[in-house]
Amino acid sequence: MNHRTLIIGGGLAGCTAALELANNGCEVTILEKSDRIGGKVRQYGCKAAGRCNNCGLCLAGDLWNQVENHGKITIIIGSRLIDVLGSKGDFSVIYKSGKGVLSLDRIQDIIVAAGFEEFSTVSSSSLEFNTEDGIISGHQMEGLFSRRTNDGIFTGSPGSIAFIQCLGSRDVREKAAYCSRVCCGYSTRMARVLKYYYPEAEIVFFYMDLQWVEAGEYLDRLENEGIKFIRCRPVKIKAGKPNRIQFEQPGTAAVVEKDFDIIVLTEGIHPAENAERLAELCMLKVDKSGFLKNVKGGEHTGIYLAGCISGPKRIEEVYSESLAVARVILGRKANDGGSL
Amino acid sequence: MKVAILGKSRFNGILKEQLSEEGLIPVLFENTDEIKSISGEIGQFRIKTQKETTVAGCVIVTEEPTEFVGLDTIFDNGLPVVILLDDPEESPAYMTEAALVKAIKLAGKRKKVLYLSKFVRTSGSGLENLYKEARNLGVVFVRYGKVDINRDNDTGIFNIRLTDGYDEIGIDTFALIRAGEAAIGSNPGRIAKLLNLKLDEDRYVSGNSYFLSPSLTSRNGVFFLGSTSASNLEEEMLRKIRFTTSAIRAEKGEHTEFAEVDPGKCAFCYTCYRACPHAAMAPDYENSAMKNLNKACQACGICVSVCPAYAVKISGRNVGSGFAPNTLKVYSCKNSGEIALGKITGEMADVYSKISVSTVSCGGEITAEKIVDELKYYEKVLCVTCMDDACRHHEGNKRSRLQISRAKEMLKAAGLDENRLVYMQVSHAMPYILKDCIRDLVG
Repeated sequence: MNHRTLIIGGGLAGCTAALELANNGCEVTILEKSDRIGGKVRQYGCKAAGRCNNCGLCLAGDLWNQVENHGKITIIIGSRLIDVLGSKGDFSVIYKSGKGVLSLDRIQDIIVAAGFEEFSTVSSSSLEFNTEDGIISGHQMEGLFSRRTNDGIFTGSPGSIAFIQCLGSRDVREKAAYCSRVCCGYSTRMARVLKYYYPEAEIVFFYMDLQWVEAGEYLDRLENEGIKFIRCRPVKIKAGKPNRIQFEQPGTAAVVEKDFDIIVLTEGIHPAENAERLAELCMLKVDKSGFLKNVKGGEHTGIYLAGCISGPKRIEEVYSESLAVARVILGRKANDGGSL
Repeated sequence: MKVAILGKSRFNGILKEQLSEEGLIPVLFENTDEIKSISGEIGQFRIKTQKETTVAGCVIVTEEPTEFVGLDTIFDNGLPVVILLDDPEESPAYMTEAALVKAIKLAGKRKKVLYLSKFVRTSGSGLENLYKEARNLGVVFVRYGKVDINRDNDTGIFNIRLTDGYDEIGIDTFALIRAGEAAIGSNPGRIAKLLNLKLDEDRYVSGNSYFLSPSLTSRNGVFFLGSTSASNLEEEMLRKIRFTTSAIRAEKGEHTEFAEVDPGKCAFCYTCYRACPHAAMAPDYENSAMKNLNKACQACGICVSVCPAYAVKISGRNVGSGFAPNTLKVYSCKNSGEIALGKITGEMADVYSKISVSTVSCGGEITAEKIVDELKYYEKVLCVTCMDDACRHHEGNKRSRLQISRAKEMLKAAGLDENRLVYMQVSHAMPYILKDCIRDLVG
């Protein structure tokens, strides 16, 4: 009998694990809720500015094509998990897709890789993200980056750009007391690219603290490149032309207003919308932020977690974690004497 | 294509079946003594028996050895089985797995197994588990620097002396499994002589990968099944047969580039015959000219350069026809350019006829000579490599940049327009920049 693995979610984590398993002879089925695999990473853009900025996107490379064209990988698009029956080594899964409610039997392992939601999609605040008005979410910014041409990112050249950090992270009101870990990285890289295309533009960061950036010489280098950092959280953002930010000048008690052509809201990572339901189906634990945790290791339960479903992670972390999960499964299969 | 099978074997039936499935015609010569001579090269072996002459594309020797270092017969005498890798030259990495599986199988039968290698390879998935399993079963792993093997002809014992630079140890064994050797049938000298194969100590055909691609010989188109060391005979023979049929299938494919001799110009001087490293030139007595054996030809062009009568040219390449305007040759690196091009293929359908894309595994592979050569056929050449710091092959992009500047100097020296050569660095997630650039170049 062939070793069969079900992967919930066809993003970076799911596809990396799927390819590693399939290349080693496993049958893999991917349940993907949208109409194509690739998840959020597929929409991201390269953040090299003249030279590589180590954003990690190159790890995905040709992954999507390889997964789509692999003979051992079945992708079920537009599908939704309904129930998981059975136990380790012999799961049955019921799912709903365009063809109705169907079931999959004889599944040895399940990898839960349902990913995350961006803050702008779950946010209940009144801020509206609109590229035309110049208030742009991190996700929309990624979209602009992926379509960048030789002329740059925007159609015109902006005179001033503000980055507002920690949107939807480290904020108890938004039920996200944790640090999303990726935002400092992607926003500073974006800033460097913007500086590369628009050297005249004024780029300002409003931040609380820069967790992943403050270490080392990176911050010095950014400041030398002409990027300004102001430690405060803006009081108010007024949309208009130009957009206006009210903030407290650090060191003084004065509230200052400043105009920016473009405001980038550096949004954080929130748990997947169906995380709680997945936890119920797969008997997993939900931590207080809403991310999933294993009650017992995947070696015992046959259910593995990969990627951002278990907390915010950077691309290279997701990549290495998913490979590790796939290799644990392959190792166990070899120990069981399963046929390749 | 006909495939000749030489020798008697239990597996001839399976082999014939497999070959027929591939659309090949197997011709069996059970009694090798009947064969008078074998001449020719891959694609055109002429096998002469007393009755007739058969022309076959490939030859498979299946003759089973009647006497070989038997792992089953002389075994329980306390001497270990020795598996030797990396001798005489470094074995390919993929052989490790096969060797480990072999060691585990032998050790599972309560044999003492010594595993000798120059390098310990752990890359590749699942290998760690194999190493662990082998250690648990008591396989002894020894790393050596130099090995010296002597065989006592009276007792049949191999005496192996190993050094790692500090210590020297000696091992005696009856059963030596080497990565690069396989024994040939009852009359090895005869078949080897017929096929012009090299024999070691009149026993072994030298190959280079006994474990995984066991049937390759030093000659193109000659395969050698031989036999295995008995413990997992059927499985291993099936693997060998599968490998052989797939290798022949690969040979069957059409060669697009090969040398062509113009019989009108050829002086029949045999210069190309002597120069060809692939033995692809043969005399054609009917036309009193040389002819090219397409299957063996690798289109290296040596014959073109040595021919005193300018009678040879490589077909499939039109030399000196001049380039068409607005044509573009793109060299793209596998990590970035190729993937980025894949993303914009649909949007460039209208200009695709003017572009020819070659993928190189790394930009460092591109040389100035190659680029300047391409300018004979294309108006412009575009080289696409990774961004700085993003190369996976130790700064191949910097090397390619040096080659481009060299090529530009060559163009300048020749009085040509150096703007015909464009170099750019992209990442695979910047397809639109690449698209703009290509559109600019092809107009």
